[in-house]
Amino acid sequence: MDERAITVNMGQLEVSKRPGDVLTALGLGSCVAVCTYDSALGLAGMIHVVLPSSAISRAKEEPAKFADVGVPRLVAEMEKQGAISRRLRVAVLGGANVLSCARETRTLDIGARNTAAVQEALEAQGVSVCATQVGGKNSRTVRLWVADGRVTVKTLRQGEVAVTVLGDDNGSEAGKRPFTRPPGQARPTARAGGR
Amino acid sequence: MSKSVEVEEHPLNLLQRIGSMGAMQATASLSALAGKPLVNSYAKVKILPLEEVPALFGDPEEMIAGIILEVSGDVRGQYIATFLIQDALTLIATLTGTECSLDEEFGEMETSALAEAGNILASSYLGAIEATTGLALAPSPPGVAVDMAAGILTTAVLPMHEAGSEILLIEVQFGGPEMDLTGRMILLPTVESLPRLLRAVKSAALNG
Repeated sequence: MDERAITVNMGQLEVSKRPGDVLTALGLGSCVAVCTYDSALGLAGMIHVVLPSSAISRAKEEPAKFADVGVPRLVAEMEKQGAISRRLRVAVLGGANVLSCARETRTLDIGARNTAAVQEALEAQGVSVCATQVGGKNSRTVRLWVADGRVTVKTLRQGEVAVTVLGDDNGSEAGKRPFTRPPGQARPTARAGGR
Repeated sequence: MSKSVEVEEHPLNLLQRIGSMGAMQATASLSALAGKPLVNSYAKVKILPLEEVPALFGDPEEMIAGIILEVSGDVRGQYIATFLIQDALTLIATLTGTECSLDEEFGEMETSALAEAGNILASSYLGAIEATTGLALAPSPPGVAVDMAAGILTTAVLPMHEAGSEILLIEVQFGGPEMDLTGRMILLPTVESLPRLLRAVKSAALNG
């Protein structure tokens, strides 16, 4: 099947079971992509989270924009198409802080707050995370292949690198692990606190 | 938002005027520093939906250098100067007198040069608005990033968006005939600051 890139813009949610589709979030800075996959159905979903909480924002018109309401909506959308939440395999990527040499950490490290809020929302849904690549200084383009749940991250420094294969049930690399950082990724600077 | 701006025809022109007056001073300062002439090519005012921010300059994955400062005082908001990466290298080479390449990550010297350029541009830009309007504007220390355009632009815009502001850009492009350099400056006032900014520019315009 022809490969077709489906761009998941800021605050958007996409679900697909067309094997040729590649869900793509371009140039994530502080934004976070949550990738979900149900290998029994070959069903993939992605949300492009922009802000941590709908409670503190006045921009309420697009709930998929916020971690706290967007993540449950993604899980619900997957379930609507037959997915079972305990079967879901999830990857979380993004949440960088691209600015350096600001004299003090900005009061608003939205990347770290987004990451924490996504993690919290996933826990509340009882969904565990297989793979993460969060924080650091570099923007990321995230791709999720519907065919097999392959997830890649592209940065300008390192090019495109495979992170995990969500459809690979016994993959050692994709074993269910809590939030971990790949070597060389800086620790996110701010603590959760946006809520 | 677009409605309230169009209530009378002047505000958009006024905002354009703000951009132009700030940019004139800013490019003059940078030009003096570089020892080569720079001119403003245009000033535009845009009200953008959030989704259009990543592709504001075209390809969201394009490598750019961005210098971001927070603005406080009588008007609050964000100030951003951006350069396509090749222009950033030209700028750094002009300011430091040494060539640098993209093969290695930018070191402290390159980052400082960009931060300094951002400081100069921002303080001249804001200084020109201060001098004309009597408003007090203070830029924060700059943050610098060399990365994908989408990542940098959203980083600049999201704090404003989270606070509920429209994304109103006053964008100025500048360049030079003798120096192959093009850059952009953007001022993002918060929605609360906008009326005050407009009032001040209007009365300054009336008083000649």
